[in-house]
Amino acid sequence: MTDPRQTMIRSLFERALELPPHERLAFLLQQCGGDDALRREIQMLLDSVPTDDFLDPPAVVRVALPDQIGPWAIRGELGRGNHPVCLAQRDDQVVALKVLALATASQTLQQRFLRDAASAQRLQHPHIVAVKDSGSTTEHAWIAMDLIDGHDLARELKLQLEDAPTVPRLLPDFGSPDWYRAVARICEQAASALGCAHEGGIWHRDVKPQNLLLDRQGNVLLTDFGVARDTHATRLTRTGELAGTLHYMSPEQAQQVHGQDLDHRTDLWSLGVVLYELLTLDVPYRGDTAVAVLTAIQRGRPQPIQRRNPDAPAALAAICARAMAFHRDDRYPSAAAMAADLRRFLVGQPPAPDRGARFRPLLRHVRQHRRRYSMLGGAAAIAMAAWAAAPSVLASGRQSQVRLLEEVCAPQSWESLSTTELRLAVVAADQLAGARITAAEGAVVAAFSDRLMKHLAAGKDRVRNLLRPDAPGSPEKNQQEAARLASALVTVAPDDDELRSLLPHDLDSAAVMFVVSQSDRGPPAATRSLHIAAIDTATGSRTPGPQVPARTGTHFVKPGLWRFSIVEAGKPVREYTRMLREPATRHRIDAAGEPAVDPVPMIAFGSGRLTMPAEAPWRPLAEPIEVAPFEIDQHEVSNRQFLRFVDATGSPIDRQWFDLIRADAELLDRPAVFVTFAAAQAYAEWVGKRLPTWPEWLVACGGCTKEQPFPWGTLGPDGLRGAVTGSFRPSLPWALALEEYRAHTRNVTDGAGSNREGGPLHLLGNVAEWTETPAWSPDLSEHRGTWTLLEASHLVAGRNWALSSVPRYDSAAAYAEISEITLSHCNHGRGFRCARSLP
Amino acid sequence: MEPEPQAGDLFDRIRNGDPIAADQLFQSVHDDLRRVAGKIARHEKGRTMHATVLVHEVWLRLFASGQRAYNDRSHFIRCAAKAMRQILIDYKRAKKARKRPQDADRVSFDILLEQFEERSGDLLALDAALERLRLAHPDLEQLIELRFFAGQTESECAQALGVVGRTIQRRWKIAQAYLKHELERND
Repeated sequence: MTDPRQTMIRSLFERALELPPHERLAFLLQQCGGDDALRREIQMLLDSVPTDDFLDPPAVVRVALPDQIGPWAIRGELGRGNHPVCLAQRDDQVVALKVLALATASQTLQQRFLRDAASAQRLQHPHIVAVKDSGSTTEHAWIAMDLIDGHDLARELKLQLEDAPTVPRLLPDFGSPDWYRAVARICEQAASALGCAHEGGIWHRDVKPQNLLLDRQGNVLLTDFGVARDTHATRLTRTGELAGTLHYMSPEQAQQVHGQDLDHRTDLWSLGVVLYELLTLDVPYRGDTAVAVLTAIQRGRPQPIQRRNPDAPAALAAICARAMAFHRDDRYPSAAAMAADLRRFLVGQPPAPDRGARFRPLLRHVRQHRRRYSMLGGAAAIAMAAWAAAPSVLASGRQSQVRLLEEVCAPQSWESLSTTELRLAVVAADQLAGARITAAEGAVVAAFSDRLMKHLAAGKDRVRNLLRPDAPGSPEKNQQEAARLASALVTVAPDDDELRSLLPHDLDSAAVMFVVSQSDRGPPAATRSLHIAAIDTATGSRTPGPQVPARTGTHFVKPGLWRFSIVEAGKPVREYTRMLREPATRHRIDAAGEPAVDPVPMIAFGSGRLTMPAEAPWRPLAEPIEVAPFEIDQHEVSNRQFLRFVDATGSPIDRQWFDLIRADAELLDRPAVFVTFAAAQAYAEWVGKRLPTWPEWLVACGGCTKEQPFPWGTLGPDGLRGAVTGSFRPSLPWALALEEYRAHTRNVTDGAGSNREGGPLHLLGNVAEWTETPAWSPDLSEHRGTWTLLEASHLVAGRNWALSSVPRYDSAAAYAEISEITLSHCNHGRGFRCARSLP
Repeated sequence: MEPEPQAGDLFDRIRNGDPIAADQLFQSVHDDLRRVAGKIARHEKGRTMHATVLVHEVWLRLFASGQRAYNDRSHFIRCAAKAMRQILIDYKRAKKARKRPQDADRVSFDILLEQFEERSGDLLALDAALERLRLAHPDLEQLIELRFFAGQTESECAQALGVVGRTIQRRWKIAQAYLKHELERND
């Protein structure tokens, strides 16, 4: 510091800086005297004192990661999201590696982390960050993901707020037409990614800008499924922690500490908040504390977007408002519907009208006051509500009924009407016909009736289903009627989004689910019909339900375990067993195609009764189980058959294992193992069969014939029937597992023909086998004696070679092995065979 | 940076030509640099960048060039900070000239650069401003190197520069203002 003037400037600057801002000017005027240049120089320096984090180093220090985690060489830390993410390299593969240090992680955190891997690995979508691999060492668990060259959306949002022109941005300037197009594109891509996750049964539950990555092309990629709820892994997620980031939480998420009442629409809310933020550069609900934010969210009604940003396109504001509707019924029925609206914006079309919006306040009212309306049939209750409960929506009773009929008669085709609308109309016409009405009103009713008759004559099933005696009768009769209505099968045209949004959640007492029956090979033959049977989750017994023509369409049933059979000439051609849960998920059934040829011979069994002992390792049943006629494969599905299926369908399998099998011709006729439940089920459905139920398997094993109870006496000298809970997937190297498999299994056909009377002899000893019967878990802690249905677990039957060396199971003829948690669980001692219902 | 007697001894031993000290030096310095590198490139939102690549670069500059005479830890840290600045500036220049290193390294450096530039704007402009600042106020330049480029805390800077913490606080504000002023003057 040689220049004396510079020294003076700095010294005065330092002293001025120590003063409170309002005293600085006086200080400088006094010190600089007449030297205005000096004063200005110092004033400029004072003005330059940064208020932001210019050059400031951050304060936090984190524990360093090692150079190597498992197979990955760590090249640096990228650090997005809830866990450290590093740049990692294996050979010439460079990935983003999400890392969890096991030593410091709680059990919950570890489970979440693994769930993230499992959830994301199942999803393949151009806008979901692909998970390539996952694994763990003794110290770390890791997930290898595609490396995205870009930034998260939170950073880009922050950059828009800052005036930092030198920092490269990935998005156009806020407020420009390009900005709104980019916003719509980002949300459209995110919505379609969410749609893919939801279809896969996964709700993200933590959608926020930090979890939306933007690449250099401006494409968005959804990541971080760490708090996702996988509907296939129900038990893991009920941990009760408040998952999700505050500002992006839906009202129901903010309310529910246990997270049990959430569904996919919570993600739509969160994406709505992101859209809101993109349109206003601020989150809709602010608060000084977490509680304040949560309270604001639960109180609802954010400031309208266009008040905050009058330039925001009305269409985008409308899309945001619908996504962020307080009642989730008012939101988009699916992420796909939201994506569709955003696409419409991008091509300059208005959003699709929400045709259910008119009715939903009424329907909510009906649901809330269900008891009051329970004396009436379901549809009547809805119609009642229309004038009894919400006059503001449908004016007075008679007028509103007439208006409804007029509206219903207006369109040329009824295809576009929702079934609820039609139901309301039918009830309204009924009521009007019995009331004193004017001639004009009578004409409307007559017009509607004419129209209805025409549709009936044209054989419209949907309309026929609507017509039923609605006259108020005895309470019992009405209850029966309500129950019938609830279980009634409604067939509608596919892809009716409005209907889908309305029906599953709004129909009075019927929480309904739907199944889409669809085929690539055109419509199914008219000779085919669809039989729907409810399957008892405890016993596997079936209760036949509706039988309808097997037309392509959407069908609604209540949640539960259902079997859908495509029947031709009295015999099932294809069978599908599905656990349907709320909210509505789409399940496809191929009603048209022919199943692949299956060379495995089957053995038929008549109906019979199976007495289960009280101390059985599954849910105890006092009553004997009725087993309906069925046939079962004579032997397990072999590697040869299974690989044929894999080659034909591209079904995902454990490549490493099956590569070893393919390499050894001797093993091709051994039973296929390392097959997940989902893969086994897919194989069975491919050949037009299904997996056997657990009771069916026992019947086949014991040679149960008509009226002959299952011979439990053969279970072993000590009377033990073992139950294995959990997995025993060995931590063996593949080669070792293969040696064990080679040594202990035998070809599937060995001895399979030498069945004793009534049943195949060799169900035991080779491999344990999947059944389609879901597992129940006893609660052994507080509520002893209660049982929980493990929705994604299935009973495994039979004794496999790996356990035959364990004395406890050595003599047991059969036991139930309860598979652990997931559909994907498999091991090298577990195979499967198929079964089929008989008429 | 806490004074570690062992590491201090190490510097003495190296100056005195202790042959074993070289290996120990790498170990000690490597860990030290990793800590520093890990800190400098951290965004306030918790985003981290673990700059192994940068550590290796710094190591090469500081030790492979034959220069081994570091008086003590403070001296070493000051040199490391300068080296980091140099490396980043060089990379930025190379990037402008489209001469890029290997893939994994490039990503790492790009991230590093961006994380720095998020807080400073264009690094080359900053470098030029720093050069001008050095003429009148070399102490401010040094502080900026330590705090911005090497991510040292206030107390670590105080230790490395041999002044009290309060002085560092005041000097930091002044340094920020001067540099910002310099940057704006250039615009």
